[in-house]
Amino acid sequence: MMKRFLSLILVILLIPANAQERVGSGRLDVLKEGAEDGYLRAINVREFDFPADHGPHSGYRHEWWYLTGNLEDDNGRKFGYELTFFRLALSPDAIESSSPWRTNVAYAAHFAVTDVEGDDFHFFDRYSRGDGRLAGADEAQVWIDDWRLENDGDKWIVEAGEEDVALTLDMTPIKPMMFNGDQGLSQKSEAPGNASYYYALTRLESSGTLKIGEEEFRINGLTWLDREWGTSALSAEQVGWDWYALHLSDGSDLMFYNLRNSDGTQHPYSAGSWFSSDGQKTALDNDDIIVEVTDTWESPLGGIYPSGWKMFWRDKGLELTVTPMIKNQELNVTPRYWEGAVSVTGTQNGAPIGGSGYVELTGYSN
Amino acid sequence: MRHVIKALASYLFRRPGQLALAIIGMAVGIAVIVAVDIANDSAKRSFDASLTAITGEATHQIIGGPTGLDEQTYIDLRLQGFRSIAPVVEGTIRLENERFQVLGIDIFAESSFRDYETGGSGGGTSGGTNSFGLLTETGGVLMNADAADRLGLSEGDVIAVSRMAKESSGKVLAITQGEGFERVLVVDIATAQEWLGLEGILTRIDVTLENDDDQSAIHSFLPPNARLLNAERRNSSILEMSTGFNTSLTAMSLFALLVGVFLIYNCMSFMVLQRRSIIGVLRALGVTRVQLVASLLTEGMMVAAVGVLLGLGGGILLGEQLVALVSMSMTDHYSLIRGDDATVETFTIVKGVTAGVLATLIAVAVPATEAVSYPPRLTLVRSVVEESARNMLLWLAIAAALLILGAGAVLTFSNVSLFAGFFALFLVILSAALLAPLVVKYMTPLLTIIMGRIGGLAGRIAVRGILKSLSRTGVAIAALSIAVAEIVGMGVMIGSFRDNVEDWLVSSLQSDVYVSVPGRSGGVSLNGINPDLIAELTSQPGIAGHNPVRTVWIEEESGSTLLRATDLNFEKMRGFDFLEGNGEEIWEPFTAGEGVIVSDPYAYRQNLSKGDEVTLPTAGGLRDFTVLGIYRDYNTGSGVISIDRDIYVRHWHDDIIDTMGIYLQDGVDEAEVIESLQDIAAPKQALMIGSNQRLKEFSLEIFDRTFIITNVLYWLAMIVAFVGVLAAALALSLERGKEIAILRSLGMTTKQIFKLVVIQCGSMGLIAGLFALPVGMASGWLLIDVINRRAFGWQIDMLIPWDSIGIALVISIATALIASLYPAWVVTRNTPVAMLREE
Repeated sequence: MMKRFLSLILVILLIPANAQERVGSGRLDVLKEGAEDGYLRAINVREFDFPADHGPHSGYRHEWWYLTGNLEDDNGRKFGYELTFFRLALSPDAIESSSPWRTNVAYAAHFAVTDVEGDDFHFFDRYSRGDGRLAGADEAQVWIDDWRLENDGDKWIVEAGEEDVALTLDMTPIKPMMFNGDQGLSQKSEAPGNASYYYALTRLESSGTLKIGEEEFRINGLTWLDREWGTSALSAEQVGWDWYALHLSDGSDLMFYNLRNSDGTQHPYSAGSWFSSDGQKTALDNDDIIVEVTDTWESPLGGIYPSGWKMFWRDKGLELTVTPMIKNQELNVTPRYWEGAVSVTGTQNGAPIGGSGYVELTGYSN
Repeated sequence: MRHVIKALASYLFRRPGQLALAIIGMAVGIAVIVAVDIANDSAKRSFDASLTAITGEATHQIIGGPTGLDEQTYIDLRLQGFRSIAPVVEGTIRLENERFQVLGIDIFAESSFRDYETGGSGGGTSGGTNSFGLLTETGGVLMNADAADRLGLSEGDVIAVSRMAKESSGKVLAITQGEGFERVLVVDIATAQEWLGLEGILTRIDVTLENDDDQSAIHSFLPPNARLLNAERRNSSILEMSTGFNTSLTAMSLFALLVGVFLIYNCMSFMVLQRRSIIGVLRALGVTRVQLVASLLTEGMMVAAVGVLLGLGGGILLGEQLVALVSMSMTDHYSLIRGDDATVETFTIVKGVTAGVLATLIAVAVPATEAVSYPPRLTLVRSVVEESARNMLLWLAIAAALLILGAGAVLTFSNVSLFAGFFALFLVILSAALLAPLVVKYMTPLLTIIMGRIGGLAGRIAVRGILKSLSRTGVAIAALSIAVAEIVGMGVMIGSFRDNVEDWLVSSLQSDVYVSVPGRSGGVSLNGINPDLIAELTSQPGIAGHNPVRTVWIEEESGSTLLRATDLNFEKMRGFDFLEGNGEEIWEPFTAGEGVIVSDPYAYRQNLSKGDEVTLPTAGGLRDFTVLGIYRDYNTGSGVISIDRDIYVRHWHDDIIDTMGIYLQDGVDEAEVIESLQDIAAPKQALMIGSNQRLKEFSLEIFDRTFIITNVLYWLAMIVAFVGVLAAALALSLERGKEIAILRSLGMTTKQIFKLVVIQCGSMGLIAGLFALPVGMASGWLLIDVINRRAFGWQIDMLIPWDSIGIALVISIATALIASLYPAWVVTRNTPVAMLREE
C-alpha cells in the first residue's frame, strides 16, 4: 500500500517530535534516490510464513502495522479508532555497540479516537528508538512504551492510551488473510523492487473498553489490520492520495486507493482489492472504481479536504455513498493528514447495502 | 557661575599633571572595582547558564546511587506509561586538552527538555541538525559553535576524545548555537555510555512533573536506590558549592571597592584643598558660597565623568583577563566555566559609577563646604583646614569604635550567613580606615625621633609634615593601609590554610604508595582497578599491606557529598585527626558497621555532632548511620563521609576499587617498588602509581593553582595603593612648594629637600605598613574563622605568616618610596624663586 509512504515521511520529519522545524528536509537522506542501497527489495513473490511474518523484517527499510476500526457501545454509540506502528531503518545494517541503546531502527506510532456522538476527535503520536526495549517488534507483538499490539496465534490485543483517552481491545479474525497485489507482492511502479509485501486481516471482531475522560464504554466492532514492508522510493509526480477501506454489510470488504498527481489526474497505479464474504479476492485497477467528491471540509489549520464521496463499481452494480462520521478527523502532526471513520450507504444492483470504514486523505494540508 | 568654574579651572589647567593624576586615580579605582566584579559574575554566570541549560525544563531528577541508575528503571517507567521523562548519561571527557561535559540524550524523549540548538533565542543550526546522525553515527556529536570556533572544528570533522586513558573517536555532526552548551558535547545516549564506560547505566532521569499526584505516582515505581529530587533545589546547591571559590574573589572585591573609593576621595578632595587660596579670593570678590560649592561640584563631576569612563573601559579589559585566570585555576568540578566569556552585569557598571560619583561628591562637598564656611581671609590659610581635621580625630575614633562594635554584633547575631561575614569584614576595614589619622597622630612623635636620627632636620620636618597635612596624608595612609592589610589578611588566610592542608596531608596519607585509576572526577564512574591486577600488585615482595578504597559521590538535593569506603585494618585510625571522638574508641564500632565518620565541613554544614544520625541513600533505600566521630579534612568543601569498606559493599552492592593505598615493609626501597608495580600494571591497565610524596606535592599544586588569581589581585591592590600614595605625595610636595622654597632659601640643599620628600613618603609607607599589620591580622582572622568557615565549613588553625607580614611591610614602604621619587624630583628641579613667585 502506497498510501502509507506519506506516513513514513511523518516518521522522518517528526524526529525529534515537536521539533520538525529543526530538521531540514534536504538532509533526509533516507528517502532520497539511491538511499535504498543496501536494503532488501520486494522483487519476487514470496512464501509468507506465519507467525514470523507478523514480526519485523529488518532487511527492509520500512514496515508498518496499521489498525483502523469502527466500534459501538451497548447503546449504539459510535466510535472510530486508528492505531499505527511504523518501523523505519535508519541504516541498512545494525550498528555494533557495547551500549544497548544503540540501534539503527526508529519506531513511530499514531493513535486516534473518534467520538461520533461527542463530535470529538483525539489524536496522539509517539516516537522512539527501536532498541527492543522502549519500542520494538517480534512475531508476537509491536510496541512503543505502553502502546502495543499483541498476537498470540488466534487472538490479537490492542492497548493504547494517553492523557484521558485509553483503549483496550481483544480481537479475533473472522476472515482469512487477504494478500494484495500479486499474492502479496504489491508493485508500486514499473521499476523492479519498487514494491512491497502487503497483506491484511480485513475483519477482526473486536471488543473491549474505551475510556474518554471520566466515561468508560464497553465497545464492540470491526478492525482492519494492514501489514506492509518494503524499500521503495516515492514517485515524484504524486501529491497525495485518498484511501478507502470499507466493511460492507454483506460481509465483503472493499479497499481502494486513488493516487493523485500534481496535475490533478489519477495516477495509473491507483488500485484496490475486493474481498468477498467467503474470502475471495478480486484485484481492482485504476479504472474499476469511479469516485466523485460530494462535499468538502476546510481545516481550521488550513487546507480543504474532500468530505463526502460517491463510489461506483459498474461491473458489480455497486453505488456507495461514503460520509465522514464527523467532519474534523485531522491529525495535526507533520505533515497533517485526515484519517477518519466513515459510514456507508448505497445499493448493489438496486438492493440496499450499508457499512462503515475508514478513509485516509493526504496531501491536502498545504 | 560659568566664570567661577572658569576661574577655578584655569588653575587646574595650569597643572595638567595633577588633573591627570586625579583622573587616573579615579579610573584605576573604578577599574579594579569593575574588574573584580566581572570576574566574579562571569564565572558564576557561565556556570549557572550551563547548569540551567543542561537541566533544561526538568522539574525533577531521578538520581541513583553512586553506581548510577539501572537504565531498566527508565524503561520500566516508560512501559508504565510515564511520558515526560528523559534519560541522561553525563560525564566529563577530554577533547584536545580541554575538558568537556558529555551530555548523552535520547532525541526521542528529549524535545521538551533541553534546547541545545538555539538556547531558545533563535540562531539555529548550520543547515539543520542531522538528528539521525546521533543515532546511527557512533560518536556523533552536536558541537556548540563557541567550542567549534575555539578548537577550529567544523561539520564533518573527526575528533578524538579521551576519558580515563581510554581513547574514543567521534565526529562533528552539526554545529549548534545553544547558550550554556559552550563546554558541552551533546551526543546520543549510546555514545555517552560507550565513551564513559557506563553501559547499562543512566546518571539520571529528567522528569517534568505537573503536580504532586504525578510525583507520588512516579515515586511508587522507583526501585529503592533511586530518588526523585527537585531539580531547581539541587542546581542551586550545586551552584552554591561550586562557586565557593568565589569567596576569595568577593573578599577581594570588597577590598577593591574600599581602596578604590579612598583613592577617588583622595584625588578629588585634594583638587579642592589645593585651591583654597583661589576660593578665598573668589569669596572676597563676592562669589557666594552656594555658587562656589556648586561650581566645585560641577567641576568634580566633570572630572569624575572622564575618570569613570576610563575606569569602566579599563575595568572591562582587566576583567576579561581576570576571567581567563579564574577559569585557568578551576579544577574538574568547574569544567563548565568558560574562560573566554566575560559578561558585564549592569549592576557592575552601576556599582562602579556609583562609587565614582558618591566618592567624588563627598570628596568635593566636604572640603568645599568647609573652605567656603570661613571668612575669605581665613580660607586662604592652609592651617585652618588641618586644625579642623585634627579636631575631627575624636569623632573618627568614636565612629571607628561604633563600627567595630557593629561588626561584633553582626557576627554574634548571624549564625552561618556568609553575607554577614563579609559585612563584618567590611565594617572592620572601614573602621580601620577611620582610625588611620589617629594612628598617624600617635605614631609621629616616635617617628620624628627615628627619622631625625636618620635624616636629621629634613627627617624631622618630613615627619611633622605628615601630621601637619593630616587631611591629606590621613586618607593616603588609610588607602595604603587597606591595600597592605589585604595582603596581610589574604596572606594569613592562605598561609594558614596551606599549612593546615600540608599537615593534614602528612597525617592522612598513611600509605607509602598510591595506585588509582586515572581521571577520576565527579559523577558516576564504574571504572575500577582490575581485581586480578590488585591481587597481583599486592602480592609483590616488600609490600606489607594495602587499603582498597572506593570513592563515590552521593547526590542529594542539598548537594553532593563524597563517600569514601576504605579498609583501615592496616593503618587503623592513625590517619584521622579527630575534632570530635577518639580514634581508639571509634575503631570497633566503625568496623562493625555501627556508623560512619564525617569530615568537619560536612558536620558543620549538616549541623552534626558525634552521636547524631546521618541518612544516606543506599542500594536498599534510605538508611541511618551514627556519626562516630568528626575529623579534620580539606578534601572538598562539600564534605566527606568515611565508611568501612565491608559495610559499604554490603549496603551499596558496589565492590569497585578505584584507589589503593599500599604499605611497604620497613627498609624497602620505595622507588624500586613503584617501578616494579608500574611494570606489572602497564600492559594490563592504565593506572596512576605514585609515591606518598608525589601525591602530597600534587595536592599542594592544586591548592596553589586555586589561589593564582589571589596573587594577581595582590598586585592590583598595590597598583591602586601606589597611585594613591603617589597622588598624596605629589599633592603634599606641590602644595608645600612655598614652604620648601623657604627652606631652600634658608639654606637647605636640593639633596636635603629630596631626602625630606622621600623620608616623608617613606614614613607614610611605614605608618601604613605597621598599621596594616593588626588590621590585616584581624581581616585574616575574619577570613579564616568566619568567612571560610561559613563558606566551606573548613576549620583552619590560624598561623602568623611572618614572611607575608615582612613582605607586606617592605611592599608598603617601597611603594611609598617609589611614589615619592617623582614629586621629589619635581620640587628639587624648581628654583625657590620660581616656587615663591607662584603665590
